Amino acid sequence: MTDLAPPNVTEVAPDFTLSDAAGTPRQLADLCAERPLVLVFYRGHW
Amino acid sequence: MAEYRDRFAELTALGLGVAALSVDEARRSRALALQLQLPFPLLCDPAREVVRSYGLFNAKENGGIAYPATFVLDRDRTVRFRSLDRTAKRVDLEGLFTFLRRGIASSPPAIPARSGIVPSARDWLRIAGNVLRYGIRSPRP
Repeated sequence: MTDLAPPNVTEVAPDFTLSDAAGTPRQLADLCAERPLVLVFYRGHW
Repeated sequence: MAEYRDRFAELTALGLGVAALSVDEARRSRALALQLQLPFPLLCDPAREVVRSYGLFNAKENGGIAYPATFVLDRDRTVRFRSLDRTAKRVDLEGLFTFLRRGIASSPPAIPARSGIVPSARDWLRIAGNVLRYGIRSPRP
């Protein structure tokens, strides 16, 4: 997959589905459906 | 992640949800969520697909990880705020809160320059323990 640019302000963030730590699939569209969402990308567990 | 945990109540009070994403597999994410008692979901992207599609893949470190970044997404996934940081270990929360206090529809503020964050002794202890337990990097799929 080619690397794209991070979505900018006023653009629509690409939807995705990933498993959470319990293995439950979580879709971005659902996570922000009821209230705005702070989506944090972090480096990972050290 | 601890900073987001500590300010989770504030974010909730401001009407926001929180989710965090890394290339860690579920096992590591579970360990982090337990150790830090995180009240929000950790999304696992061990295939690095989402991190790549968001242009946040840092191939140079630890076998390929995410660059730190924070987005505020409206309910239709429109980006209202973003903060990218290619140099520091994590994104500064003050810019985020300055934005949120002004209201989600306002234009984003300038991000103030700042120095790097030095991990505390407790951070180092936790890091050392986790390296022993889980190894230094998340395996590629």
